[in-house]
Amino acid sequence: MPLEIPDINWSLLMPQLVIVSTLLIVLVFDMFDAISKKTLGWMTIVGAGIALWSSIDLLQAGTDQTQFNEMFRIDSYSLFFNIIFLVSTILVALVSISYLGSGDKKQGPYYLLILLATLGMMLMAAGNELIIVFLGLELMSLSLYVLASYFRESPASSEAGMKYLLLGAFASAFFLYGIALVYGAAGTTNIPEIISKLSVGDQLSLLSESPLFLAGIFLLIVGFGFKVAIVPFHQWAPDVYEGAPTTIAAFISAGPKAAGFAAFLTIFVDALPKLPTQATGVIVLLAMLTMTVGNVIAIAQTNIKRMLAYSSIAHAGYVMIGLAAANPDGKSSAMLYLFIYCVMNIGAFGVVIMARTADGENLMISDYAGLGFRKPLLAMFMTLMLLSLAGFPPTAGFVGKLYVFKSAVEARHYWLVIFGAINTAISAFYYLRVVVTMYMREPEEELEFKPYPPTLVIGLVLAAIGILLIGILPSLLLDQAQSAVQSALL
Amino acid sequence: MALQYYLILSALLFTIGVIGVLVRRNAIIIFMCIELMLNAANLAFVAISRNLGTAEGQLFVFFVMAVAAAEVAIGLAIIVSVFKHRETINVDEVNSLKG
Amino acid sequence: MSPNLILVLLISPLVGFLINGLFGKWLKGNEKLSGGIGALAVLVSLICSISAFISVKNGNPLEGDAGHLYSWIVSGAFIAGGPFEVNIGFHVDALTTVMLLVITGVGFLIHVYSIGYMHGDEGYTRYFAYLNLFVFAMLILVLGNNYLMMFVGWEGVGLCSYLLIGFWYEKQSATDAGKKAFIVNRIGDFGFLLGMFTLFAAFGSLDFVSIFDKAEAGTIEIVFGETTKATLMVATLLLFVGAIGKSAQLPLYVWLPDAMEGPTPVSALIHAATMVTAGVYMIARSAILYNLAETGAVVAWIGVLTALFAAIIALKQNDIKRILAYSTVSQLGYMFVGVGVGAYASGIFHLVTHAFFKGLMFLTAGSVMHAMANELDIRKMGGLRNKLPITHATFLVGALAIAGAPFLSGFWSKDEILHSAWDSFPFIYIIGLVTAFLTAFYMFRLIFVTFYGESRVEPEVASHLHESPAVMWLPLAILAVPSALIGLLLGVGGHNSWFHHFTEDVFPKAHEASGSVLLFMAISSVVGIAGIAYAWKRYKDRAPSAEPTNTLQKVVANKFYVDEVYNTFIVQPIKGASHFLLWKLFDSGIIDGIVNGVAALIRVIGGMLRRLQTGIVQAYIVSMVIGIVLFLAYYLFFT
Repeated sequence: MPLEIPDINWSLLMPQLVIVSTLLIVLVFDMFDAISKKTLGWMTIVGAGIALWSSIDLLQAGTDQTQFNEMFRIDSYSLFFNIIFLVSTILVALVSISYLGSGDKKQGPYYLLILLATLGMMLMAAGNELIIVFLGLELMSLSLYVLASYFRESPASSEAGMKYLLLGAFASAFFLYGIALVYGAAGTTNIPEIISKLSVGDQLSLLSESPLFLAGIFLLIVGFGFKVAIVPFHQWAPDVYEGAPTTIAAFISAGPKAAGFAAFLTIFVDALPKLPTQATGVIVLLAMLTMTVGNVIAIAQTNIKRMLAYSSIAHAGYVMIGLAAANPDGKSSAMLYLFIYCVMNIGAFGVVIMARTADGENLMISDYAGLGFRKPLLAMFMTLMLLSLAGFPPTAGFVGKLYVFKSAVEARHYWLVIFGAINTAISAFYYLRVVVTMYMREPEEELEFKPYPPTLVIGLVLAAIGILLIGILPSLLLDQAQSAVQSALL
Repeated sequence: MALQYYLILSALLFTIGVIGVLVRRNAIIIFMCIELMLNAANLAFVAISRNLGTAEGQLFVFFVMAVAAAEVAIGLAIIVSVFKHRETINVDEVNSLKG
Repeated sequence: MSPNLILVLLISPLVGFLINGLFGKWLKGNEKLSGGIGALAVLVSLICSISAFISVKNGNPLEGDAGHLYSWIVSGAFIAGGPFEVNIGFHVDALTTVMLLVITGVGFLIHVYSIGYMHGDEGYTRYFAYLNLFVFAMLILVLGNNYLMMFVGWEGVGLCSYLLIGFWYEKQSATDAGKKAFIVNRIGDFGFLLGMFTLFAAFGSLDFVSIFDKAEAGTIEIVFGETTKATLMVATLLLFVGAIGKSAQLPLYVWLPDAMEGPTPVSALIHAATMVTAGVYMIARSAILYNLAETGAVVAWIGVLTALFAAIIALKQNDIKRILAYSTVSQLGYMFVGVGVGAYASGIFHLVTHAFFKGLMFLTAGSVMHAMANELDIRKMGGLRNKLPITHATFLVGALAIAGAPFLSGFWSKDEILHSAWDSFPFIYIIGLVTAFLTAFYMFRLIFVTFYGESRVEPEVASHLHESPAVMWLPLAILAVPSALIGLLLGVGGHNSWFHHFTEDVFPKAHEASGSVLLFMAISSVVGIAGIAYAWKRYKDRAPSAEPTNTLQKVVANKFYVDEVYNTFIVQPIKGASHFLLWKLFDSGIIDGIVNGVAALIRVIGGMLRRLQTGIVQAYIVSMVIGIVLFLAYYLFFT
């Protein structure tokens, strides 16, 4: 049998290729001691920037093709997610440059792993085949396990890495088993083929009721649910966020969550209408549970990193609302929400890094007392990020929530919207508590803060501009997300 | 032989793995149990692939084996680093992050 | 006119705010630079405003679709009633450009003045950041092409006003005054918000153009009562509640005199020239609605009563800034009379002249305070005219203008309003005339006591008496020119004046006032001069007595005890009721049980759920597996 070599259009793979070359360059340059380790950070930023630019370029050209025998999808959906991942990577790299300092010799692998994880995320979003999604997921996860335990000298960091690894591998096994079952029932691992096999004409096919298939689909939910930290698969998140280096906590809370949802949405938004109703029921229940548990536990937190961890769990719940709506609006609003969420969450973690003293980080919320007048810039950034997370207009967070809720109204999930609204109110309580602490409380002791590193301020200014711009001019981004979904439908 | 026997065997292996993860306290043993779960999935893949007469599933197994190997490498390194700090790899005793 | 011009106009003060706000720490050592940036930002807006004014004058306004920038929120079926769309855009017509020129013109001069006035203050950069932010918010208020943007600006100026009143937050009285302004304004804003909802329910839109078109065509959803008119009445009166709060009318005027705790240039810009006139602007903008609803009479009556009431209180005040504050309340009352009787152009004309002469007087008051080491009591002044010649001269111009001395700006605008009122409400005319007499009297009482007669200045202060630096007196001199002349330029000819021609496309046609213009002018002049003469007779060489001599005087001197009445009958009962009834019984029992209880409950639950997070990996795995099993059971077996 002659071997068929598929035609490959390399220009369509530019974003991924740029990331691969960048990580090779970083790998090589890391070997030269003469090169400042900060340069590696800048290389990462430049590489991700070029990949971002080429993703935007492809998106504007309206690319919609598959590569490698339909295993790999380059359409506006995957390109939009590329933009989310790359923006997150750039912001995290900007924040990291000053966080790690210049003397540390171990920075090469750090940026290398961030780039590898980014590549994994891009694979997940572009995967048209469960194998690709699995490989992307593992590439991303394995890099993140190492990054979480990156501070070898810190017991908390190693502990975070070990917990993340054990729980992550456990969830991956469920995910893999789910793929096996779906493969067994549907006879293929190609996602569009699986979905098309669910119906014959207007009727649902036998496959949509096959227990093997349904069990497999459920295990996929477990696998994705773990990666995006939805309740009850969320418990790794607070521990890992707290123990991991703060920059990595920011990274894990942003890109990988978006990547998990990228694959989640591709499969489920199209599949849910063709599955028995209780599949939607499971998603709705998980969404309610995730929002509520995340927000309620966040109220009881005193450590700001843990609070942000629980808040990010709650935000996964909001995205699930868009997923449960299972309509094009739900998909585009979930995409929009993920983008906004990534920017504001990295911003919030960035401010946590900004509030460093010579003794290390100040992670207790009470440490922020009185910062409103003593550190106006820091307090302003924090207030903006928290108001956006809480969903106040005219910030991006408001726009994101509005459209997610709207899509659920259209899908008649009224209870879900009511739950979402109540949860937004609960969440305002703990976000505003930090703001109140900053502006209304007097500090117990005067803390000597380190001077703000310029790259961090640049990163935060970019995030702040993004949040306000999307809040004031939402059509800028929403049109992109909507056209991305439209083209995915056609 | 019919497909379901293989699937039942793989499900049993998977369950044994899950139970192992639940009851053992040593991080390395837990890790081995997770490997067992992955291999249960591999068995299912091979059996289904053979049954369907397509090669996809068998290809999948190779990827999974590679991923599992990478996972082991990283996992052992992290466990060693935990051991350096605490002199134990008993997961019950590694619980400073909580709440 | 291109929207880009307006964007530059709008963004410039925002940039100024960001520079002073973000880089304040680096600018702190360099006051000139910080203040210069603040003033420059407004100067750019002023130049753009002039350019916009010229375009409008050449018949090229920015209205309707041309002003549309983008849709903020577009939503198919979010609200059952139909598509929900919020648009962002500009509406620049004659009314807008008049407001723009006032805001940026007076605003620029006050920024320049502040460079000198705030010299050496701790919060120098913070001050300019707030002031720029205020100008930005005020510009949004007047530039928006819909009520939502107006509301955003409305809240924005309120926030800046609150921040600037409490600018010296170490002073307890300043924070209290800020709080008072904040709370009183909330009442008004609530009315505005309800009015906005009513409009949205009635018209399905918040855009000016579509609301006014639909109102004229009569396609209105009936929200209240049986007729469209009833709906419009409710909407316009609710909006007017907002105006009462923001523009300090009866019964919500109480915050404005206290607002004088802020720096004096702030009083000039925010609490005299611009922000407090937002209510008048809003009614003039909604002229079509007020005409259809025929609620103008309410506006006019509230206005004239406020004018009289505040003028009476001003008679017995001895604090230079408070006299000016009550005078502002009183003059705002005149403006509401103007827009209330349908003479919108006259009301806005008075807004313009008032902005100049009242801004001028506040700045001169600041100059006096600057010379007198922040002394505010006019009984401790006297004979200042020799030491502060420029201040005295400019103050005199302002006082003559407000008193209605013939041919100065206030004379023309006030006369137009009174003349228009005569036809429909003769009684309002008469009250207005009495108020005009009182205005002339208290203003010149202030002048004579402060600048004439024997010096009562304490010797220690007297030795330091000095005229203000050029950066302060120059804006005074510049402001004095329009205060004197703008009426002659724009107002001659009553309803045929230049100003009326300029704004004729914006406002519904007012009916021509009857009677001889000259006769009305003559009456006004006589009244004004009589007030000045009476003040001369009483105060040319003596200070006001320290203690009021009879009951009536005592009542007036204590501002009719309104603050006390509010305190006794509203604030204390609410406090008391909340303390005994609500707090003791209801709150700690029921509300506590609900609100705090829920909050506490959530916290307790949160604390309990926290304990599930044991930190042990296997516990997490167990909960994962339990979750998987439960959901799988639900998923596979509950069909």
